[in-house]
Amino acid sequence: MKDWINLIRPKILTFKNRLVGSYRESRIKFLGRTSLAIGFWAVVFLLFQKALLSFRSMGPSGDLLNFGLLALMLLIFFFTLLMSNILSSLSTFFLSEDLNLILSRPVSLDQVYYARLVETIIYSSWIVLFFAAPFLGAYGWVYGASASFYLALPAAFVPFLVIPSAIATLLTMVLVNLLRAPRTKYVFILLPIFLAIGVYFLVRFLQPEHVGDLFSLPGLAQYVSVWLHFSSQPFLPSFWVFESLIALLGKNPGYPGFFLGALWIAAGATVLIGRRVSRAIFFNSWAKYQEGKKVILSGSPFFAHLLEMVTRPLPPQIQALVIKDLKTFFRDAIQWSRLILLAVLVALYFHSFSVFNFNKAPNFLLQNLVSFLNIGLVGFISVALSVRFAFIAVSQKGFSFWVIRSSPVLPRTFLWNKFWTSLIPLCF
Amino acid sequence: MIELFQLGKNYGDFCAVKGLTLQVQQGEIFGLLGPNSAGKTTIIRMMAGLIRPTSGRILLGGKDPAREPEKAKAILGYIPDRPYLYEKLTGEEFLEFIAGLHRLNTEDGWKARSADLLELFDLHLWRRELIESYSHGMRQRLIITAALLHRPKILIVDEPIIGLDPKGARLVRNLFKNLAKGGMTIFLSTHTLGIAEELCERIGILQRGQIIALGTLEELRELAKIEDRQLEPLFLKLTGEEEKQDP
Repeated sequence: MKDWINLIRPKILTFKNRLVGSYRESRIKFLGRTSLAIGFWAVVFLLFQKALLSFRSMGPSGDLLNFGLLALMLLIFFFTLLMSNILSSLSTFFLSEDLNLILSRPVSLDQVYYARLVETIIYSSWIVLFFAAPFLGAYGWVYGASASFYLALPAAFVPFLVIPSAIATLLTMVLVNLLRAPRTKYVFILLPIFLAIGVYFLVRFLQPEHVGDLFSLPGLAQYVSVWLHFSSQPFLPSFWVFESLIALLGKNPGYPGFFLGALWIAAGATVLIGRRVSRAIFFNSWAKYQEGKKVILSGSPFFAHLLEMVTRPLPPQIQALVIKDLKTFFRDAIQWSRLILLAVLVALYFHSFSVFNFNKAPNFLLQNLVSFLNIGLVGFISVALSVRFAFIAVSQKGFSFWVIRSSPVLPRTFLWNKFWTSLIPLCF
Repeated sequence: MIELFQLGKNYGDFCAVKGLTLQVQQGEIFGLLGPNSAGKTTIIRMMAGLIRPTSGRILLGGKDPAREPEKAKAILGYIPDRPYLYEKLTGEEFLEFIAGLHRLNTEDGWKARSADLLELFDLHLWRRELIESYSHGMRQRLIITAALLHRPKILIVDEPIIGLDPKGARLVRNLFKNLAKGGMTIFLSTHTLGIAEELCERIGILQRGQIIALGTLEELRELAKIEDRQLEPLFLKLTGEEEKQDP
C-alpha cells in the first residue's frame, strides 16, 4: 500500500519545491497570489450568502430555490468533474513522460493505478473544491448548520471526487485499448465528442426553452424545479451528496448516514473495478499509445498545402513562424480535446441566449444588466483563453526557444506574430 | 544472464526486430551496434519491460519481463537514451524516490551506497540542488547513479556516455569494467565505436532488426575479411555503409 504514496512523492515534492521557490523568488508576488485566492473565496462566500439570505427571506418557496440551486450546483460539479477527469486521465495515464521511468522499475500495476488515480483526482478536482468550499460554507452559515454539517462535507466530498475520476479513467483506458495502435491518438477527439453528445442530450432532455419567464418568481421556480427533478435521479452521486447535506442543514429529516454510505460504497466499487480493469489492460493500452505516433490531420499534405496557401501573403519570416505555430498546436493531441470542449461551451452559451427571452426582464435596468454581464463574461472568457493558449505560446518556448533566438528574427517580429496568431482565433 | 529467444517486434506492418536469438553470460559486457533505426532501442525497451514483444521471449536472470515484470525489473538497472528526470526535485530526493520504487530500506544500506555513488560521480556537492540546475553531463551521471542504486545483476544501457566529458566517460568505462568483474551482466547499445571496442567482450551488429554479425572483435574482423584493427571500418563494411560515408 505504501508504494503508491512513494509514486506520488515526486509530484508532492515538486509542488513543495515550486512553492518554496516562488516564495523565495518574490515574496510580494507570492503574498499577492495568496491574497487573490483568499479574496476570491471571500467574494464567492459573500455573493452566495447574500443570495441565499434574500431567497430565504421569501419563506418556504425561497428555501426551495436555495435547495434547487444546491442540487443544480452539485450536478454541475459532477459533470464538470467527469469531463475534467477524462482529460486529466489521458495526461496522467498515457502522456506522462515519467511513466517510462516508473514502468521500468519493479512496481506493481495496481500501485501505478492508485497513484495515477490520486494524481488525476487532484489535477481535476482542485478547482471544483476551491469554488465549492465558500459556496457550501455560505449554506452552512445561512442555515446555521451544526458542526456535523462541516464534518460531513469532507466525508461526502472525498468519495464524490473519487467516483467521476474512477469512471473517467476506466473509460479512457477501455477506449485507448479498443483503438488500434497507430490510431490511439484519436482518443483525444473521440472522448470530447462523446462528452459533447452527452451535453447535447442533457440540454434536449431539460428543454430549457419550454421554461417560462425566468424573471418572475414562478418562472424561476419552474426552472429550478426542472433541474431539481433531473438532479434527483437516485443513481446520481450528486443526489447522494445533496441528500446527506440537506439533512444536516436541518431542512429535511432524511438519512445522511445512508447517503454517505452509498457514496463511499460507490467510490470503493468504482476504484476496485478500475483497478481490476487497469490490471488487465493498462500496460497494453499504454504500450499501444506509445506506438501510435501518427499525427492527425496536421500531418497530411492537404493541411500543409492549406497552411502554405493561407499564409502566402505574409512576409517569409512571419509565414515560417505562423506555419510552425499552427502545426505544433494541432499536433499536440490534447489541444483537440480542449478545442472541441470549448466549441461545446460556446454552442451552449449561444443556445442559452437564443432560448431565454431577456427582453421579458421586469425593468430596463435588469435588461441592461444582463447585457452588461454578458460583455463581462465575454471579456473573462477571452482573458482565460489568452492565458491558456496565447500566454503559454510565448512563455513556455523552453528548449526550442534557441531556434528563434539564434535566427535573424527580431523579438518584436516574434511577439507580433504571437499576437496575431492568437488574436485572430480569439476574435471568433 | 540475458537470454533472448526468437524475439520479434512489429509496429503495424513495420517489422522492427526479427527473430533475434542471443545469450549474454553473467559478468559479460555485450555491445549492440547498428545504424540509426536498426531496432536497438526497441530491443532495449523490450528488455526493460516497457514494450511487449510481438513474438519470442526474453529472460533476465531466468525471469521473463512480460510474465513476471516485478521480479525481472528488480534485478535490472536501466539507463535510457532519453532519460526522464523530475526537474523540480533535488538529486537526493530523486534517489530517495528510486530507492522507494525498489523498496530499499535503510538497512539495505542504500543511503551509504547513494553517498558513495554521488561522491564517485562528483555530484555530492550538488545533491541538494534542484535537478533543473544540473548540466547535461550531471544529469547523465545522476541517471547512472539511480540505475546502480539497488545493486542490479543486469545493467542495460542505451548510449552510455552521451553528454559526458572525457573524465566522466573514462569514469563510466572503468566503472562498467569493475561491475562486470564483480559479476554484473552489461548489455549496452552505442554509436560510440571506441566504447564498444574498449569494453565489450562480444559485439552484435544489428541491421533492419536482425543481427548480421556476432562475435568478438577478432571474429568480426575475420568475418568481414578486414585487416584494420579499428572497429569503424569493420562496422561500415558489415553494415554496407562504407560506400556512402563521404559526400
